[in-house]
Amino acid sequence: MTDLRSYLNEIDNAIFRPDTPVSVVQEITALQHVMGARSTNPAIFVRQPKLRDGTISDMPVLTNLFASRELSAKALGIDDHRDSAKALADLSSRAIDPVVVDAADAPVRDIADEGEAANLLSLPALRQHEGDAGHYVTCGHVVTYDPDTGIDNMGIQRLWVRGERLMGCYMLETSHNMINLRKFWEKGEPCPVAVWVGHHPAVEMGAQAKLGYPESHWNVAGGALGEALRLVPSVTHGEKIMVPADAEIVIEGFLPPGRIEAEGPFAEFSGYQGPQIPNPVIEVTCITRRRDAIYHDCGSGLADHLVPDNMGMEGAIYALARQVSPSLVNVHVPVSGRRFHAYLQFKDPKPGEARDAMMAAIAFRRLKAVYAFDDDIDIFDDRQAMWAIATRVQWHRDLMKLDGLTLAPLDPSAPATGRTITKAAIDATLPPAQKPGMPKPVAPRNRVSDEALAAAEAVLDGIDTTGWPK
Amino acid sequence: MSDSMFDKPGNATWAQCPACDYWFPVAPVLLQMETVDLICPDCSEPFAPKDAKALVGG
Repeated sequence: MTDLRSYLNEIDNAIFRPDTPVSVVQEITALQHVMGARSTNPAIFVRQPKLRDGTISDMPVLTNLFASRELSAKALGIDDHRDSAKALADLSSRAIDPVVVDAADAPVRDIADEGEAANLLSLPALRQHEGDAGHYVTCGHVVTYDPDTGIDNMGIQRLWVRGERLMGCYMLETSHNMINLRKFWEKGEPCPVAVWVGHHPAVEMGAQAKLGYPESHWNVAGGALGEALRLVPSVTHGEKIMVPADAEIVIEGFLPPGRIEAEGPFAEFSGYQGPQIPNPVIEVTCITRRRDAIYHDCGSGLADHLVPDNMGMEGAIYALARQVSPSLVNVHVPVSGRRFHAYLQFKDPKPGEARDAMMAAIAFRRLKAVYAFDDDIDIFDDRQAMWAIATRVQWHRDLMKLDGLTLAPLDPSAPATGRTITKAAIDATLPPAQKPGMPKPVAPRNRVSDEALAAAEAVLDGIDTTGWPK
Repeated sequence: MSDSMFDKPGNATWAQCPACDYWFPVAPVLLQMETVDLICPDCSEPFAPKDAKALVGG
């Protein structure tokens, strides 16, 4: 069985386990901020989460699981995180159909609290940042289904714990879960929902694949894991909504028709607070969990939040742009640009090809700017990207602006009025050589010889440089 | 005379809770609904948009 526990055993030496209680009110998230500032990204396993009332939760909190690109890639079976774009571009083609198991064989059904026994306040959900409306389930995979076809959909959505059996649920107007909800509501019916928390990170990343509508995510999640995902019918909805048998926690309920309430503010992926907005609510009917469940949190707006989705974006953008540009060799969606920037890397692109690829990529969801680089630039190093932009771009020639494209609702710089924005594509590639094998018609970059570099490394070998000026 | 294309008016709207004076960002679409109460993130007090102690921006 492959699940969160088997993964944690695999990465045991990459987990930080504080010995003392740590509060679910900002302190666990603060640990992530401090570690991120120090460029260290272990998973964090809090054995003694201190709840809002000062008591210690029996349920441990796991967070920062996705903060490391290296670890996240390895969880997907990708040896080098730099290969994620190509590996994830064809994730759908590796799909493996799920299998259904009995409840008795489903660890997530160890305990089933139904009706008034269900209590969201028993979960050590975090209040992550100043100004957040409350405690949020941040790594909950929200499952609904299309009432016309019965096909399920799944997406991570922020969930505000408002009471023992009530959650606010952020649903983008364009999300597939919102399409399903509207179909139920148009018939005057509540929308059935289940939320699962905690599984092997490959399942969690596979479950976030960008698919068409209606299209189930289970087989793609299984493909990402490399084996059939084990599903079990939910307690409340039966086979209409299946949930992973090997998840840690499942929250079931309904989104009652027409019930729209205020939700947020919440510190978002952009690094800024998303405002309070109108959203549906979930009335909880049942919570099932493992006997020794681990609560999985995701640090919003931190690398933990950005890395897995950005890696998925890299795959999708690579697939789009590669169709028009055979010289495209890689894509990086850097954490520094949140989900607004993408770096495209080319090997000897033909005239116009980098621009073609950028036009294909720029339409992708939240992207605001796409950059084209040559393969001598390490697109995983922002300093090299900025150097190329500074030295290879003439703005009258290399900047393309496209008006009237879709905006990201949580972009803090988006215009207050209007529904579209201007996006940019920046060509930071060098002019091509006149003939293959000839130097490009630009000045060569500064460099020292490989021998000199090796000699310098030898001089520094074994010397502790940690106390040197930064 | 200003050129609106290059103005930076910002896009955040803030509401002030009538019970505890806490300021928090709200989406204009929520204010326009009128029938949905805002909820203060600080003291949890629900209040109608028209009862906000103050609304700025947007």
